Amino acid sequence: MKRLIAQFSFVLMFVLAGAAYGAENQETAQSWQKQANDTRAAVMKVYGELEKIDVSQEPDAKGLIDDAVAQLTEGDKYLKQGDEAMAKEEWEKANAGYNMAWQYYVKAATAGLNAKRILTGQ
Amino acid sequence: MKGIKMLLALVPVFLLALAPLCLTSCKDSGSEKEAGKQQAADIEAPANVEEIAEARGLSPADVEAAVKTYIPSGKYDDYIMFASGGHSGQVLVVGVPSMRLLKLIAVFTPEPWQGYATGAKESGDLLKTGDMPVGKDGKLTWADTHHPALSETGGDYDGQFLFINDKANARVAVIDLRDFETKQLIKTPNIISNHGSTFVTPDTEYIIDTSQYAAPLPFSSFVPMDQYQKKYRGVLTMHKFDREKGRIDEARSFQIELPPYWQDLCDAGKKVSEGWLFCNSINTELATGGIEQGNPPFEAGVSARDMDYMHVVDWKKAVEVSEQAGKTNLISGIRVIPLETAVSEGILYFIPEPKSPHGVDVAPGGDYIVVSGKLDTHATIYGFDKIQNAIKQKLIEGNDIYGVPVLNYNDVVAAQLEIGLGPLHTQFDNEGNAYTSVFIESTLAKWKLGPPYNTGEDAWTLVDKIPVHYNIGHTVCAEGDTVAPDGKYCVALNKWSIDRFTPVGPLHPQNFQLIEVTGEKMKLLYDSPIGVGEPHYVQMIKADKLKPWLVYPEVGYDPATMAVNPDAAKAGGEKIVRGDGKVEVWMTAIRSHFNPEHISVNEGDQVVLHITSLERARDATHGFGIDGYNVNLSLEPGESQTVEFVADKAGVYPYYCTEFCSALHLEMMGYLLVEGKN
Repeated sequence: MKRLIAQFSFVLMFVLAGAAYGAENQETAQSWQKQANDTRAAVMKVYGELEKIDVSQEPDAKGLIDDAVAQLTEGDKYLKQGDEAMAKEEWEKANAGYNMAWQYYVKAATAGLNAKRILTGQ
Repeated sequence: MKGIKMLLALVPVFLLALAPLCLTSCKDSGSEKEAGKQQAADIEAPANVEEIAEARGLSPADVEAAVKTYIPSGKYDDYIMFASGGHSGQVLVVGVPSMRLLKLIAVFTPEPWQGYATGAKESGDLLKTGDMPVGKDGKLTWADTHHPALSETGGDYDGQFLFINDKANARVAVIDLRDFETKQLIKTPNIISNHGSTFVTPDTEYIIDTSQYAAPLPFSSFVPMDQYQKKYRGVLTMHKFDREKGRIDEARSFQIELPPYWQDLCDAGKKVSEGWLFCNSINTELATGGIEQGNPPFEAGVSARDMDYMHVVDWKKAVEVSEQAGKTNLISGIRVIPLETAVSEGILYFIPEPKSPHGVDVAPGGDYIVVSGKLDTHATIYGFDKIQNAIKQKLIEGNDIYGVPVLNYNDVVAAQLEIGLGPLHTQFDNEGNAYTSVFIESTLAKWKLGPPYNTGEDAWTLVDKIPVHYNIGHTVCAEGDTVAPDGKYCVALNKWSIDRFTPVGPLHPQNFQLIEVTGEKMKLLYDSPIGVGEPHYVQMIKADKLKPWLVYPEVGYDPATMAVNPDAAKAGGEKIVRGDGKVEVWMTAIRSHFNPEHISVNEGDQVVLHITSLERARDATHGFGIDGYNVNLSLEPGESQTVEFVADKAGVYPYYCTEFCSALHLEMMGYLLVEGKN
């Protein structure tokens, strides 16, 4: 579990580091799309593991995981908007959708890492 | 428990080893003189300490932390932190390593214990000077204190003054550390919010103050959002500080017009970079929000670009230009260097910096400027020599849309270091290490600076991380932003505490976490809840650099002027003088009576009280509260204060000492008798 969480942090670090934005064109929209999807995948990987842990005795961690899920869900709404805009080649709208999705995924990461801190001390 | 036994066995040895050191080095710290001559070498760990530790479930690390932070009764802390009190509009004074709260300093908001703007004319008038008599209630009743800055001499803390800003209203305050009281409030002209404030130049010639949320210039003029790029502006204010007077000299202060990029934080150059200053910006996208109209919200719009711009300002040249005829515009009573003049005179340059930067921190030698982008994983370190070379060689990649030259990123970067998720602010120690707060992953990261601080293979490497709880904002280390940091301690200023403290309702305290940084690995020593506001940033100074007064130098002293008030009441000079519709009283206070004890006035009279504490004993403070009239003063030994009010309510109103001053404290009272018109 700890290893997976550490891997998650490692992956997320590089995902965040790799952000590339610029003019709102197709290329940057694709970059944002990748950024949002990669970040989501990293968040989901650790969430899948956290889900297996009984956190009923850890209400603070549970609250943070719930918060992370809420942020993730909100991010997914924007990800869908981004995908729809992408399909219509509305690059500016796609950028906005993916950017916002990524913002929510970063919040999910913050909450998830705090939950990790409570559960593992690390 | 084996570990605890070993640790406890070492306690007497530890104390014995410290004893000679303490007996020589503690003499000047105030520790020995106040400590009842307790000899550390005589102490032995009580036999039941192990049982106590076991019963309380304390680990060896807990016991070690307790030993390192406990300050016995009568002994003093080694360091003093001045923390912004956030929304309280105050400054918190906290001892380190005990983390004991020593005092709140009233700054931007009324504070009854200190009698700050709760009836005293002096502090009431002071608070009005920084007020904006508009908005709800027609006056400001809160503030958002952010960045305290200690005065410096030669780039080192001198313990004389403290400055702090109110981000919510763009105000700046001056606190005199002789009596720890606020002396001046300035409403910074032309701007309505300041975040990059306050920071001082190395000899406190100027207090640096930048706007955050861009607004029209001046902010009080209306300009629609669709003219943001053309009409909205940022502003850098250089408040001239007159150290002799202990006041900002507004007539000698000036401003520089900046693009509306949301200037964020600043730091002054020092040593090799003295004369320059560096400020971040976060909205080079010129995002204007409008989520309700389907536009990207600010959080997305402001973080859209890869790079924002660090502002590099030659402030000494700016001073020269500000004094030249025709080079400034007078706006709202202050000289403003126009943006185009700042460019043409070589005052302002930009450097690309990774996205949404937050901290900009100058290394002790002034040779490096560390920038952390909160949505980037790196600390980017710029070399001042490289910046100077780029300026001299005109190594620019172009100009921004406002014509400001942008230096080539690759020409000025000295190093870039992978720090973690969400790096924010950096402080330094005395061994060439830097400490960066990392928000998203809630850690404090320790890393090594490059040459000349470290010349080996470990230069520019991350060497340690410690978890903090949770969501760290700023960090502070002992004198960690000066030319001579102390190391020893850092404090993580955590925005969330979540599960660290006994729940006290949905509004949680912030969490100051004391971290020892003397060894290779950082160690968490203490959690301190801060329940008065968001304490945004802190300065930590050696306690022995502060030379506060214990009582006011003379009886009749007015803290507002730091001189004896010629109108102060004197012993034996107590009197009541009645005029036409006015009653003026010269009153003294000493344990355990006020003189006079009866004040008779007519309803509608203007009442003026000049009250002086005749006390000369340390800590013999009196209060002066009038029931029903919303008046409370703090009369510290020797202090004189003035109260003015209209006796608009008939009746009998006791006044009394509101500090428990003596055995007969309750009897220290008098009556205000207001005879009705009918």
